[in-house]
Amino acid sequence: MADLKDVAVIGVGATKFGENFDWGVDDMLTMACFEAMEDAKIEPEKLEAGWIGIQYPFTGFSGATLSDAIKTYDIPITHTENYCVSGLDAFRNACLAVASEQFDMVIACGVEKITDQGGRGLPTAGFGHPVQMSGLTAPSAFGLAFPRHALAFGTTKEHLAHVAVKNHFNGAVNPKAHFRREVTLEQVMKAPIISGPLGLLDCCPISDGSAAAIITRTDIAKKYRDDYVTIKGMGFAAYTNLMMYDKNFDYLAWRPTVKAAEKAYAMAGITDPPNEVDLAECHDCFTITEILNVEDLGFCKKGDGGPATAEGRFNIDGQVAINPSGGLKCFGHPIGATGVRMVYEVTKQLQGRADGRQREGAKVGMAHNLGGLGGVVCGVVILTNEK
Amino acid sequence: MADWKSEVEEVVFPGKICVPYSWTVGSTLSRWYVQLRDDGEIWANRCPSCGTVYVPPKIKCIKCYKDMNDWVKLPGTGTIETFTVVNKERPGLDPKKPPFVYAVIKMDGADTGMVHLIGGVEPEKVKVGMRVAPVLEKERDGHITDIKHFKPIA
Repeated sequence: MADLKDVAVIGVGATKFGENFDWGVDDMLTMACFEAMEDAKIEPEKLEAGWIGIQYPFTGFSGATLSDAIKTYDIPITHTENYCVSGLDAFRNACLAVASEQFDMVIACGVEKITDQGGRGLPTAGFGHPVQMSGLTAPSAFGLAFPRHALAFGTTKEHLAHVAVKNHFNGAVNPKAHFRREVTLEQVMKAPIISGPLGLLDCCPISDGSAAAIITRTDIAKKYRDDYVTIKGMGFAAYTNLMMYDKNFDYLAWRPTVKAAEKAYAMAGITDPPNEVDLAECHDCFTITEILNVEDLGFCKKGDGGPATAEGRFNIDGQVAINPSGGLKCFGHPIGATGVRMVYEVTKQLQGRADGRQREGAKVGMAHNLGGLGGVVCGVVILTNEK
Repeated sequence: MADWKSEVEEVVFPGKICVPYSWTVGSTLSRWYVQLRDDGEIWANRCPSCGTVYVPPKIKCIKCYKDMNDWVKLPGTGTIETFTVVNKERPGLDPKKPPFVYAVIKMDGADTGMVHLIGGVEPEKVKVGMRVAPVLEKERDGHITDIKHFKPIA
């Protein structure tokens, strides 16, 4: 068996994210996967296995969603579903398979087609647990974190707004981002309220899109390119759908982020995250989500997420560049695709190919993907270009 | 890829999915809902091992995995742990017309949080730590909305 640290990414691809009314699931998968294969300089025949992250049944079922798009018939393909972490979990399983030496060359991808599904917003509400109130949507579930964070640490709505301003600033120059425009603090503060305190511009959009990565071992990667990136750390954690039943749950941290990060940092040998990680694609479905996440990932002290963001410590040229791509907030969030899209961005950054939004001298980058209402599951993948 | 529309008229089929379903709430929650419906009382159950009191009740303790047959009647009052004011309407999904307040309520005598609505108060006056009591529907059918909402008390 090889080690997880012997796993390399040699190609990445992604569609433009957004309201892709002209594209179906097959179109987007084909674009993302072939871009990744062209980037890796491989033909589809090289692929020995695949993993595809999808959350919603209306996007597609089973591994055949991928083989039907890119015609890789007869190889094993697994559909992963893990809320918003569906994509990064596809990537994780692909990496483990390569590390096990069962396969030499595999593809991990994700896709979601959310427009045209007939509803508004994410179809999360109206079903589920028989006593937890139906109708609790993603903005209202994540909005629950704010009053407690505000009381404990003095976090303000303006702190949240700084997250949106920063991520839109980064994403505005990203050709594949859902939104390609900056927003001002005033615009964010004055946007219509969806679920207090979260306004329209505190929420990520409903997007379609797909992303893909080609994964192999480092000894093989060298034959394809010099600037491949490798796994430095990886950690995943599932907590609970019903955190209200945990009497110690305090709404001040996303526990799966804390646990997944602990594992990833331990594997990577990272003890001082803000000084050892150059950039992070950090789950920012809502501005409050990023505030708690940057604290839980150890990029600042617990409670400092708001002021640290406002001071610019997480700007593209700050201590740690958080969401150089624009993040979910600006780049978009087609659920199953997002985790792989994070790997796409981190890989581009570590290869010095993130045009217009490059974190100078990036050596270590993180993909952090959180899923479920109020932080149920999480994946953290740390990549490096250091050989 | 948008160019094809200049060559041929785009045909779009409207789709409609109706998904009725039923859900058995099981032995523990059936007992809880019957108490709520018939007697207007909110009960909880307690772990015989660690003593954690659950509301809504669970069949087993999430930590000790012990059966919880020890039932406790709660006074119904509680404290708001956190909340959010919903402002954007989602027709057919919202339990009431926005703006309305969802809160996580720590019920007196219990250890766990319960999600419910806050009513009888302007949304902007809701605060963490506020004391609340349930307002029950007169006609009850064994559903979480048999509790209309929780209202602030002095």
